[in-house]
Amino acid sequence: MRWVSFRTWAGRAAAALLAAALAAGGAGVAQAAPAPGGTTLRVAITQDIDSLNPFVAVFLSSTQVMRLTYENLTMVGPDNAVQPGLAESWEASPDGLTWTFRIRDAQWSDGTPITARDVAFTYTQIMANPAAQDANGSAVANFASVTAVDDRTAQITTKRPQASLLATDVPIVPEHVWTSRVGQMGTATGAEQLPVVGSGPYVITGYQEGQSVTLSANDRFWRGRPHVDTLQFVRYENADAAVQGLLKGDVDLVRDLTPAQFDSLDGNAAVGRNEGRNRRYTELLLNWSNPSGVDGKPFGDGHPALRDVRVRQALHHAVDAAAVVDRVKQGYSEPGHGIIPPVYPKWTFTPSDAQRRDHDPEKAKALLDEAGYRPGPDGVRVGPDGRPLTLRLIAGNQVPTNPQLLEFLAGWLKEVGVGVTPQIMSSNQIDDATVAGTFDIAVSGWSVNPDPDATLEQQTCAVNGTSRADSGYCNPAYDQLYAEQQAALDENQRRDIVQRMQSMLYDDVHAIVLTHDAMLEAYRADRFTGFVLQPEDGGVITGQTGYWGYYGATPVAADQTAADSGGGAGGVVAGVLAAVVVLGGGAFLVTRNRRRSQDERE
Amino acid sequence: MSELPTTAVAADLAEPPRRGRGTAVFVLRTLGGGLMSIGLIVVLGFLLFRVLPGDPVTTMTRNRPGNPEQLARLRAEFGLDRPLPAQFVDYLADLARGDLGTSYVYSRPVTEIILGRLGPTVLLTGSALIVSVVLGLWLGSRAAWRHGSVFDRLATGTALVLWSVPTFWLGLLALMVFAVGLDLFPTGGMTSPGGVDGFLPAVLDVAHHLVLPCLTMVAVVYAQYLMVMRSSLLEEMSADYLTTARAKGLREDLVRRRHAVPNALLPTVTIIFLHVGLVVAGAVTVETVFSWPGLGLLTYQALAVPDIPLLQGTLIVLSVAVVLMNVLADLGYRLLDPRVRAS
Repeated sequence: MRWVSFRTWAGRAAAALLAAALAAGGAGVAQAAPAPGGTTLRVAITQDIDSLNPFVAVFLSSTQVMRLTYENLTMVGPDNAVQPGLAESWEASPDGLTWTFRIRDAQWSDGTPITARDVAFTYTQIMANPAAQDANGSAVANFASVTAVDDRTAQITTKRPQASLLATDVPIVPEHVWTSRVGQMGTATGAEQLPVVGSGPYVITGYQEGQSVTLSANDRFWRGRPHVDTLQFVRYENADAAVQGLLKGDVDLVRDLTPAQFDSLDGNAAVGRNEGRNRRYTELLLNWSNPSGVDGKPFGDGHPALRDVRVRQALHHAVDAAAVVDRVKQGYSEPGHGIIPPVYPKWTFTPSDAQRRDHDPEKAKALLDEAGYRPGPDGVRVGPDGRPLTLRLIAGNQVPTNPQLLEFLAGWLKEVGVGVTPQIMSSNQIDDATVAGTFDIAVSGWSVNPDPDATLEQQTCAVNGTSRADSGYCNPAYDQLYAEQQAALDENQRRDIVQRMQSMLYDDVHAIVLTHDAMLEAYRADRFTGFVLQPEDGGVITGQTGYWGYYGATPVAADQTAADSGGGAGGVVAGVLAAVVVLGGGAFLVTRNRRRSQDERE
Repeated sequence: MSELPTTAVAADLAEPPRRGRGTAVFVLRTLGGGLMSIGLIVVLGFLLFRVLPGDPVTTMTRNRPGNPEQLARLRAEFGLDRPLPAQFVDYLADLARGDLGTSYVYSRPVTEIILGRLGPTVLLTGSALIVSVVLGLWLGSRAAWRHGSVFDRLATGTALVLWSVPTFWLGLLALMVFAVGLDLFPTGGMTSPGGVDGFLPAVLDVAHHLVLPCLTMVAVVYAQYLMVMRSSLLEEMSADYLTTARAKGLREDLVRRRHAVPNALLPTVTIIFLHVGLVVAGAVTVETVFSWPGLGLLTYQALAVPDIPLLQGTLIVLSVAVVLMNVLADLGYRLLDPRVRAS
């Protein structure tokens, strides 16, 4: 009897639990905006959205949405050159300290005119309100004041001349919406009021936390309404599922694929693939315990041999960047020389034949001999101080190819008599080790903006000891050039200085720049076309500095879509094959298990 | 929640007052033990995540410009520049007010974030638990009753195979076959992107998205209920009271349902309650494969930063759930089994 009552109780509890949970799920859905009609382009994102508040959002997934929603004063085009944004024209005063921007006659998505007061409001908030500085505080560090001279004229005054000023990547927000949120600028989600009032090609009309962001075409966008009515960023937790979503048609665009995933989509008529030249570099940091800019003392515990430039040159000669491209990155990469990637042809650096260091193990051995590191009894060289040349080699686990890369590196270094203790660790541990200088060689890498200032700054003495520091390089002559390029408002002059800076880094072997890796993307070519790449010659669709990739997208005409159903059929075949594998495997395991249990019984 | 079994126990034991006092002591002791565990968790939650490698401010400013002043300001904002004991006092004071702090990554109250993820998690793991318990118990009792039969071997074999298969692999296969190949279910998420209008369509939409992740979870976990049920029923099989029941002329079905199963059910109750506690923790793997916006995934992502307030918050919520369910299991067991009460 008691059992019966328990069962009823359990049943009721279960039903209540399910009902409550369903209601909770349903309630979450009810809050979301309905998907508007027309064409919808769905983009799979594998990174979470940290915030839709432009003063807080820093994840790449979120800044992409911010760029679509809020136009900048000026921005870079598909060619990575500066273009008008909300400002239709601008000029700098002769001393380079005052910049006057003419604001175009355009409207926010709610019909309110966009004025210079919006510009002044946004920048002044970031400069004066600590809560508004999380995302873009450092972009305005050199600003003295930003004022609205009149509705159409905004003026920025800087403390020192700033050549990179036009590349300031800060979304301008509408004053009439944000003025009431000044107190919550650090905590607002940015999606409190839907639709979000913006100035970009799309505005946010729906947000399901942890699931999707819906954007609708902005009729009042000053360049003209985009061709696709609705743009949705859909959260996928893993790239494999996103690829399946692409095959099924749940999403239309996926990014950041592994070479294996990218290759698996080859030959599918419905899927277009894009091997996008990207703005990232992969490098080997060499810890040469430079005196840090912070207190002028050497920091960390790097192997003393790394302070000898000949040893660093030898290490560079020992590694084979071309083999890394072919065998680790499966060809989806290109060998690198300088910290500014070739996607920025204006700034990128190519060493002269005289200074260039190629893969040359014999040269590496000669350099190590010359530096006094003689081969020891176990094949590992020993220094003049009797200390063996064994180096710690670390890499983060966030890049799937890193374990493989470490194996290759260890092999190449052993070949020239350098001992290696490789270790894979979490990206946090890598950050800690590189900032504190507790490593010898570390695999690292950074994304580079269209303006080279931030990347060049990472090699200055001033940033050492902070999370911004890259190689721990500290050279007063370099810092001098860094200051000069900041003030060089003439672009040709600046380009010349930037080249000299990179040449200096290369000669000093501040680090070994290995490769510039491609961004692998795939999209439903049977549904969408016209994605604008950045740079235009073989660049990326997603993760751009700007909104060009999405803004250019156009739906493929319906009649073409109907004719092009090869992808779906391919999917079905794959699915059936997979089903056969699963059922077959399952049956095999079951029979094996049954046989075993029979054996056991007899 | 905790009142339900307590009152039931009290009502049950109304007649003999001596035993009632014993029950009260037992209930108090169980509750006290639970409270002590929660107290320990609160302390542990603070210490544990401060040992993690990684500096939250460094991680937050990774890959973007941040000058030393800004870093110092961030540190001050999150109280990371204060000595550890002072941070601990702040943490306890906030906790007493029900404030779990502000997430470093999302810049929002942790309580709000966790509550937002709790619904989807409970929905997924709760429904998977119910289905797997029902399925496991049913198959387990059948298998034990016809011990050694083809049905027994097939049910046990299948369950064990699924139990030992990696969840990630099984989930991806289910995704490929049922979502892409047969085009029956969506490839991820809890709702269609952007949501659906109307209450009933929204519920159906969620249910549609729930099928694959729920079935994957069921496939992986139902074996444990099956095996426990099967073995405890096997122990009862030769009991005299079953012979008596049969001698009364009861049908086999009734013998099993009315007499054997209720007695064999006791060990399974403990394991079910333990799993109800873990329901809140969700299933990181299943959530990852099917992009289910749950709590397990949130915790996993928070570990990478480390987003200390969020980690503390999830640890406390998850642990309290487990402790609570353990307490309920202790009380429920006593309610179900007169032998425990008598001892």
